Amino acid sequence: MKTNMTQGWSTLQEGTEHYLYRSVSSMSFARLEALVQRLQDCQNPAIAIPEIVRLANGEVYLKEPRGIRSVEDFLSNNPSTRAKLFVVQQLLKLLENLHTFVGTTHGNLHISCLSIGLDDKLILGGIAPVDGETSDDVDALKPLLAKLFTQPIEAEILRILHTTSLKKMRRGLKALLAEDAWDDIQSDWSHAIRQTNIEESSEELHVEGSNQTNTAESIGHDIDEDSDDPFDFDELDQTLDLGSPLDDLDGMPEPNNIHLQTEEQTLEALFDEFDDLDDLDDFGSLEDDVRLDLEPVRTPVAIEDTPSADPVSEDWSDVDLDSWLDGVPEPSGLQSKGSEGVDLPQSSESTTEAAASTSDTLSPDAFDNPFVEDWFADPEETVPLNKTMGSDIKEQTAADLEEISDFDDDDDETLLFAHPTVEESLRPMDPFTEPEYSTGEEDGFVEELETSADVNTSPASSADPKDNLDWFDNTETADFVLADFEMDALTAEANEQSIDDINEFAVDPFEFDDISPNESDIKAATDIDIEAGYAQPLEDSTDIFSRNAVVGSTDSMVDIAEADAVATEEHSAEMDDWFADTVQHTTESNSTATVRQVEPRIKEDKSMPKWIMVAGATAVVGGAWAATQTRKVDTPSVHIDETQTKSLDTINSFVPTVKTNAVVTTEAGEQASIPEQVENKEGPVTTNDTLDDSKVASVTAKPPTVTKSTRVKKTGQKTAQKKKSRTKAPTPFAKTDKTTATAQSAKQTTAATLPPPKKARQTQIKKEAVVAKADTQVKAPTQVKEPSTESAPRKNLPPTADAIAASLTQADSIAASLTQMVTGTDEQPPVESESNPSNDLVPADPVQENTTEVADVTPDEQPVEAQRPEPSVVAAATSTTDTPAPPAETAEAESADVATQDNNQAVDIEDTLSESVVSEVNATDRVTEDVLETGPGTPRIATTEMSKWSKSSISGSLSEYTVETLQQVPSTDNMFTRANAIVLTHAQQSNDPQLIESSLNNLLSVEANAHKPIYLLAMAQYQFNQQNLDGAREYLMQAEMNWANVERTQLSILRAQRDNIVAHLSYIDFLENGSEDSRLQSLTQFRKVQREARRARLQSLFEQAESKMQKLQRQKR
Amino acid sequence: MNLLVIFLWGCVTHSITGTIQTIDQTPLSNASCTFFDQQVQSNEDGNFEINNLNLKKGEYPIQCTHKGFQFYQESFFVEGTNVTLPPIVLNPLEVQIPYLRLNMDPEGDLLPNER
Repeated sequence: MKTNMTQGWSTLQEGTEHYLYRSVSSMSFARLEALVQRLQDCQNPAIAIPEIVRLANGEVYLKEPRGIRSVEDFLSNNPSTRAKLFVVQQLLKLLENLHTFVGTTHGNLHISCLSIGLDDKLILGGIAPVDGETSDDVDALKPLLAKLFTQPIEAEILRILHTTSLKKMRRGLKALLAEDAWDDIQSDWSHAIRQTNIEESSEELHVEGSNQTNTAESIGHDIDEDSDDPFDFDELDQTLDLGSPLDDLDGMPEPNNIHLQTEEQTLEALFDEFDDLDDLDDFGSLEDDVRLDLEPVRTPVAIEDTPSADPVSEDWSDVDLDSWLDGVPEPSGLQSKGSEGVDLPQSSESTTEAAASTSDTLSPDAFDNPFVEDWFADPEETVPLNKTMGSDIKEQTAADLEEISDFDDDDDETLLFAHPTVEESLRPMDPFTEPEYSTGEEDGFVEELETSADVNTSPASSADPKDNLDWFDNTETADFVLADFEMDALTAEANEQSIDDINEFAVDPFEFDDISPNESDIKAATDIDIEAGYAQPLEDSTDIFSRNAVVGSTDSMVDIAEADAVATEEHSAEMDDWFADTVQHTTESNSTATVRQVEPRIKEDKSMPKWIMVAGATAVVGGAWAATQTRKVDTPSVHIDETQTKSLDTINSFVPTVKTNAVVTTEAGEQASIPEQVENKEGPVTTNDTLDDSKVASVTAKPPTVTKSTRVKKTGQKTAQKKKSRTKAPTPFAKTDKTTATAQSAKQTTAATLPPPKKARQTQIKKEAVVAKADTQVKAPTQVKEPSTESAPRKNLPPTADAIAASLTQADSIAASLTQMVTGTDEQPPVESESNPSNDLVPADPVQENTTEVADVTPDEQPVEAQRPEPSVVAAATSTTDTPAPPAETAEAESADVATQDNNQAVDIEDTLSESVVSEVNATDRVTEDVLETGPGTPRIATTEMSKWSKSSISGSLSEYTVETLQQVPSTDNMFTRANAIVLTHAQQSNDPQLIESSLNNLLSVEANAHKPIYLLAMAQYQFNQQNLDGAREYLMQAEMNWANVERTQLSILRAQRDNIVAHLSYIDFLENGSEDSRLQSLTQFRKVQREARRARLQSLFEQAESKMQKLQRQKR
Repeated sequence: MNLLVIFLWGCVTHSITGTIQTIDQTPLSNASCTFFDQQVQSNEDGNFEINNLNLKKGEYPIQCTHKGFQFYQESFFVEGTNVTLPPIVLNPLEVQIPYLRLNMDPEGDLLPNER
């Protein structure tokens, strides 16, 4: 990273973190420490706390975390005025906190100091260690505001905000904010953030006010006049603890993660690597990055999709609750349904939702989204759930309003009632229900009954809208109850904690108890209780009450009540536990009596008509009732307001509208057989529903059950955000942990058999030792006589090589011995000959010299070749000795042999002695680089020929003969790896799975290759393409474990390749389960692939990732 | 009597049956089929049955998943007590990672042309 010292500001992305650097060399260390300490004491996560970084050259910098988005970028997307006002609101609050709790002014307030964090909160950084007046910040705010509000229409806002103090500014801002609904503000803010690019680059921040008085002290002195002298992070000493820029594989350990702690050289090496590879945010290619990253996607997405479809926003950090809430019907939309204010929910519910639920019948609209989104299931998000899902929004709204109201508490009411229709806006809209009611007489009957039931229960929900407007009232109620209870401080605190833990209970699918009774509910319930003559166990009442309290079901009260009528008859241990818990809460809160009054009312609501019917009905009714009482609660009845479910579903999912007309339906005549099927059969279909034919209540109870359980599985959005931002979402690697040991394919080659990477290195070292032994050639006879004795080089052979050696047939050995006898040389069996580096030199005949002379091998190959005392070598030498022809002639002879090469394999050993592979290059260029180990059919391939084939393989145009030739290279040959790599390249380009597999198996059979990520990744990709996902993960893991072996020149490419596989694994997950979570995760992964592909200049991969991303975005629900 | 009729009507439940198969019409066993809150597994013949549904006439989605196959989600119009769905065909996962134009030759440039 380079920093212009005259600016003093710079950002640096280290891994996924962004940092702001500021030179403060001229400041005293004590002062810096004091500032940092004060900031730490403030403990405001939105105020960046710097750390003091000292460089090797003595420069001192303040390094502080920075949000992933800059406000400048945020503004560049022309956010709405409301969003900008929200920025100002946050900024003012932060400044005030800074002044109040830190006791310092910002000192150098500038737009570049502002950033937006992962949680979409404004982060204030760049705090200068100076002492100034608060008016300095006010003055600094004005140009900042001018930058924010640049539109002519915003001139009035500027005028209002241009005040002389923060307090006045706050008031003006509050008035401005109060003009808009909080949801709209939040929506605009979220939308604008999603459109803001993540600040990936590390570039200089221009300090506009670098000449400001308050920064002169901190910057003026330490600014290096020689601004051209870049600050190179190579100079960083151990005080700079960088993260792991390479560690971007979702928790996977990267061998290259070098922790910069002690060795400066290590640090330098790391940054050298980064400089070369553009790993640190492409220092040299920022423009390219931005262009490539953003151009292809944004325009079509912006048009086609919702704002969240912006590719930039697909990062986890962009997934926020607000984006999902954008789909919530606007309050005005529901107001038009009935603008009676408070009574609105009741009336509308009685005509739609409650009616459906009263009949215990699922309606199609309840299925809008079978995959309930997880964002709302976060317990944190559902804390005060006194009412329907709208309470979630209300909670947020209220909390956020409170944020604003922090400015001036006495004006809270104004803001609170600025959005009185928030609750209403969340009521689900059911386009299907009403038309269905009008169809069929039976439906009409049901509707009639439902409507009547609704009327009965309407009092319970009458007060809901009003109460929902401010959930703080409910909180106060609970607090009041607690306060009335005589208890010691500890008990009171424990009870308060219990209330605080409501959301935790709410997470559980079986838990709907709420200990924060809503006064309106209690009152309504009590009112109805007068009519209730139906006694019920007290424990059940708690359940009923709590459900009402939690669900706050103005619309489905009857539904719940009916379900409870069944559910409360059941006493499972689980339910009792939950009830007990709830009862305990309520008892402690001295509200037990009130709670218990609710029960009869609800029973009456639900059971009165049924009781009458049961009393007047036949044995069928009695049987049904009895069955109800014996119903097994396989999954404890959990009741959720259908409206909540519907709302969530409506928001977060699409409903496939494909209608299948081919559905075969049979009418009610068959209904009698249904219970029989359920009861009698183990059945071809195994249902996890163990309910018997107490259908009415049971079925009604189940929809909420599934909804709730679904919610439980998911994670609240904020939690998910944090989780993803910190530990990142679980990647396909996570599964590897489970399946590592069981990956079938992996066992064959690498997973279980691979030695650790160190062995590979040791092998290489020993190779060199073998080279050194080339001079000591005299021991060959001894080795021949003791073929079973393992020589030192033999020990270095990989297991597969051993296997190959061991698999040599006895006939081969005999043949070799015969050859030895014929040639009169001290030839040894093939296996042993390999370990004898001397045989090729012992004869010292001209031919042998010729062989080594013309060998155009790499330095690495030469020693290996020198150590190869193959029988064939000797044989070849003998052969050429017999035919003392010049190399050109030899080449011709070789060419003549080529045509019969395959046949030669079946010929006598003598024939193979002169066998070679034809070289079509000029004789002068021909080199006999490789001398082969074993007898029949083993070719010798010239390096130039290999190079030629290597080039051809890239286009997949190798001939079969060439491929076969390459495949015949024995594993002990030093060209073995190259030959198979060429085959692999050819196979990949020609998409020949079998060839890919064989070449990869060959490659990975060599120990050294088994630790090369390039081949491991290739194998992972192959396994993936063979649908062996576990195998792919296994090899991916292996590659990751051996990542240190990646050559620098290949790093970016392999990273892109690796991420591509990871992304595809994630994509597979999405295709399998179809969840939105996996879709977003896959999108994120492909974005990462794009980033890496861009860095690696892999245009094709970039386009592939782009294609996948578009496909994923089209599948957005 | 009317009350009795109404009550009996309220007791009417629906069942949905169907078959899950692969694209080559091979029955898929142990496929998970989810209809609202009920999740069942297909038997060896690929058949599944969801009972005790109290439904109103309308369009309902159903989801089916099976390891190695793409998830299936479709909406069906449900009317009547016993509903037989048409065969549900799960498509296998056939995602391929295209091979990059890389030269695996250790002696060559890994990215020969694209750089």
